[in-house]
Amino acid sequence: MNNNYDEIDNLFFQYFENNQEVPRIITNCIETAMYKSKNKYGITILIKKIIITLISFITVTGGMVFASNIIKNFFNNSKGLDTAVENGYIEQGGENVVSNNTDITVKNFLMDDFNLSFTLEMKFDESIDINSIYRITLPNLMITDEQKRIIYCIDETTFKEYCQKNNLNYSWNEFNDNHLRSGANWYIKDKLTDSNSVELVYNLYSDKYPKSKYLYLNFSEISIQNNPNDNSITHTIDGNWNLDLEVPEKFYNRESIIYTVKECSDSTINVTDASLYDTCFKLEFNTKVKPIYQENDSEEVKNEKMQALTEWNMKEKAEWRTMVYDEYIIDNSGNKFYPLRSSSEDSMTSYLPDGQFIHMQTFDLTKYNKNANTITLYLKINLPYTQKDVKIVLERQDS
Amino acid sequence: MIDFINLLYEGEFYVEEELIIKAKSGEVRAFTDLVHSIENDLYRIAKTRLDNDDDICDAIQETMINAYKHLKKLKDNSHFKSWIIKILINECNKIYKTKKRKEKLLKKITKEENIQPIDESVNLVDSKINFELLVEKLPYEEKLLVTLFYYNQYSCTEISEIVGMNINTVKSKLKRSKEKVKKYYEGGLLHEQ
Repeated sequence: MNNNYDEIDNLFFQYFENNQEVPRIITNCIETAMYKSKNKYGITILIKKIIITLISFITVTGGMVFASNIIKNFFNNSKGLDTAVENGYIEQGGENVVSNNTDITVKNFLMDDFNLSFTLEMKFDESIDINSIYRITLPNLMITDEQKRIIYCIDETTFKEYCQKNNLNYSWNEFNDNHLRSGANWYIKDKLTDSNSVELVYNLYSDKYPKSKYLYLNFSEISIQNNPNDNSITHTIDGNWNLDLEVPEKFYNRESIIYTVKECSDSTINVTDASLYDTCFKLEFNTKVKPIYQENDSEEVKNEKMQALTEWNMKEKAEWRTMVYDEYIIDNSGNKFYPLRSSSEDSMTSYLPDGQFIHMQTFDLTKYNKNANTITLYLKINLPYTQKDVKIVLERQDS
Repeated sequence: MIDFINLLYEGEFYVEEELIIKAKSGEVRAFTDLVHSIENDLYRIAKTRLDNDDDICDAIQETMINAYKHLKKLKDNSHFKSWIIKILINECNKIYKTKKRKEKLLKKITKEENIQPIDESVNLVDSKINFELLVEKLPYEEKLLVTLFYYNQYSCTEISEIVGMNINTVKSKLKRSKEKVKKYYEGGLLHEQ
């Protein structure tokens, strides 16, 4: 209890401390807000179109250097995903489903350990003017697989109905192998006036998707918002869309390639994961650095040390020096690969009071990039009392 | 300790200052991460005005769009959080007012200050008074001030700047909320005995 406050004050503090949970729908809506807003600003769309046109030009003429920092945005802003798609790691969807005059097809999709992305082609009847559509939401979308695993669901009622119907004992508040924790973002990629249809892209991400052989997408409501300045839903289309996808073998038989440490400039670094996937390279390591405070320090000293550390950290970050920065990978041919930042599963760094330091990062190196039998990772660790340049040489286990 | 670990628990979550710099230079991802880093605060504040999570989503999304659009006008980056909270409060009020206007067309409603106030909704005859219930039943303005003070831990000066209220009014409303809650909370305990 804080000694400067009375009992009621402390009850207030306690009340707010006990009510910290933020529903997942809020996190999801924050994640998608700016993707949807891209359609609002004509200039952004224009720039995107120019980039797409430029890419097409380069592909047709050939003989030109492809700028490595142009991201094609097949699904999201991940260069790793784009590389996979360019190399055939994408599959067409299944049959279309028509309900309430709305014809929906999964145009294409992709699934690996970390990503499940798909494009929905939605053909509306003439009563819907697609040019006026600002935002489309599928409020009760649910994705399951043949093992009755719930891959994605943000509507609790839909979740409970599914569990009841299938005699499943899953908990809405608990995530595990049967009820996956999936983040998502979605946006309107294109509008096709000839067919009065819209392409809606969904990107789901998780730390480990299962090797499903069939995916079932179900939803019964499409919410359309026309006016960006008015939050109310312009149209709600009710229906019943059950889209079944047969997952190809290249997706469910996917395997990662393990790398082992050949050389490391710092013997205290323990690499716990170095694996190459279809859409990325994932690295995780831990090490021990100086503890932030000692266990027998008083609360006041602990707080002081934490405060000092926080202030130091903020100053460093203003200079673009995060706890781990300047990280990249170089392959056999000198090609560079950089960290991915397309979702919250791409990166994690934590520095615990007892001195444990853990870092995980995915990079845009993929199985489709050749010349990666031996790769070298460079990064800088930036902590108080500990600044070091780290070099780790990794070798493919199957080479 | 928890706050500290959250601050140094990076990933996509860089410190606020760096994210603001990146967001101002046009990095949408940085701006989204910035908002994620304060999503608890935004949610709690929106919840003082809106009950429905869908409405809260809409308010937060509109806030993000407006904030991103005007981000370059923010001169002092250290005021980002209070600045975006101001925008959020306005967006929540817009949605609230729109909903209320629509409801008025459909049915008769009571005056805002009488909607579930402590005096009517707390049943002193029943057993123990729940502190949570008392807080949740506070009228909107008091609930907002209490959230900004106890949850976001802003000073009265900062709160007066965020909500556009005279500082003495902020102090007296906070004091009144506390007295109100104390009266019913202690009154309930006495009754239980």
